[in-house]
Amino acid sequence: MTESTTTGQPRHREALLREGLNQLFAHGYHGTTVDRLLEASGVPKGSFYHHFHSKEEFAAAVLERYGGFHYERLARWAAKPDLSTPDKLSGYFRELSQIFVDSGYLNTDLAGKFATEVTTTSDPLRAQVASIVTTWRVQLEQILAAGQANGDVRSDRDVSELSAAIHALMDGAFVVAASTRNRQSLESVAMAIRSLTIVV
Amino acid sequence: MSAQTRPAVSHKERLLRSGIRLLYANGYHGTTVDGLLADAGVPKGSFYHHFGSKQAFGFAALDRYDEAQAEVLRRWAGQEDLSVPARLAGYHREFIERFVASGWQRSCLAGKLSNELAAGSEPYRDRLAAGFELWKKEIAALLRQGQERGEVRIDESAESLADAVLAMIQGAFVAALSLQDLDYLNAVTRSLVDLVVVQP
Repeated sequence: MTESTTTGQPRHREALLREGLNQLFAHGYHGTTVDRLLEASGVPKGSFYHHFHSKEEFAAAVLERYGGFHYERLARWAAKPDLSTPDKLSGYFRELSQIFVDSGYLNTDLAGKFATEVTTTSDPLRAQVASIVTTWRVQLEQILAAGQANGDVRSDRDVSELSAAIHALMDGAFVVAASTRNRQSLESVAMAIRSLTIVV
Repeated sequence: MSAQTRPAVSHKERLLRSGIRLLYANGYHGTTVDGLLADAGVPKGSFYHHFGSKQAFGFAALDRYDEAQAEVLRRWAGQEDLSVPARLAGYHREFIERFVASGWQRSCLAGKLSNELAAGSEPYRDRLAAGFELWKKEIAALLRQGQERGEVRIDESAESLADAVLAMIQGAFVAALSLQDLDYLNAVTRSLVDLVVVQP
């Protein structure tokens, strides 16, 4: 096999992205090194630079994939037929909370983690984080608008206001619980998501 | 300005001021003792005399941040001519003004360090958890007063509402670092009120 076919293997890209998510959760952007990533994923260095030109570009690709997980999960909750919209949204958050708790409070919100660590120093990553948050909010706003149309979401607030509040609640819940590891605080936030959206 | 022309500011004070600025800009791992000494114009011996280690210095910076933050909350909490939801909104708006005035750079130091350090450092996790728990306790005390005055809903405990309020405050700043969107922040202020206010 030639060097180029070895380094260009799609499974290497996949292994790097998967391991990248673990490393970034555990060590943050600055604490994640390409060498440690290669060691943990068993991928040769040439392959890394074949697929990604820099650590920054790699991190942006991990973020993009991470955003995709969220969009899919939210869509899955939105499609549940027997739940009210407020219950879909709090259910979605409870599922994320469970993943976070099960990971030993490591798998927090990666976009939020990047926001505090690198947005003041990297414009490409700041743009990538903003794009993920915005795409997610647009999706959430469609769900909220459908809820307003069928009468189970309060309609005296604009969906963009509600999406901002729900986003802040979720992201902040993980920021605080990453340190406090207080499971009850996550349940308080699930309650708040519900009570901010129900018809009053 | 040379060090000689500003004798009023002690070495310790200069280190704290420089350190908080550098922690915001570069994070904990990106802030080195040497970089701090150069920025503050203070000799190394002075750093070790006052703080002993980088970790102790980080704790002192967090103490300074927490005190400043608590002072703002206490000032708003004491405005008894305002309703409790209005005091919370005023408090949050002051936070937003400071953040925007910093060029969208200085969010919440505790939240920033929680994102960076909670996963990897037990001492920092414990220190940050204690800070968040105290912060939540002060918000809960204010909300309890609001419940007694008939201004804050009583169908949820003050502690549970305080979890959600603290999450929203933290999450809003995380999001604003990447979004730099004042509408988002204002929506969160309004939702803070919506969440806690007693229903008519």
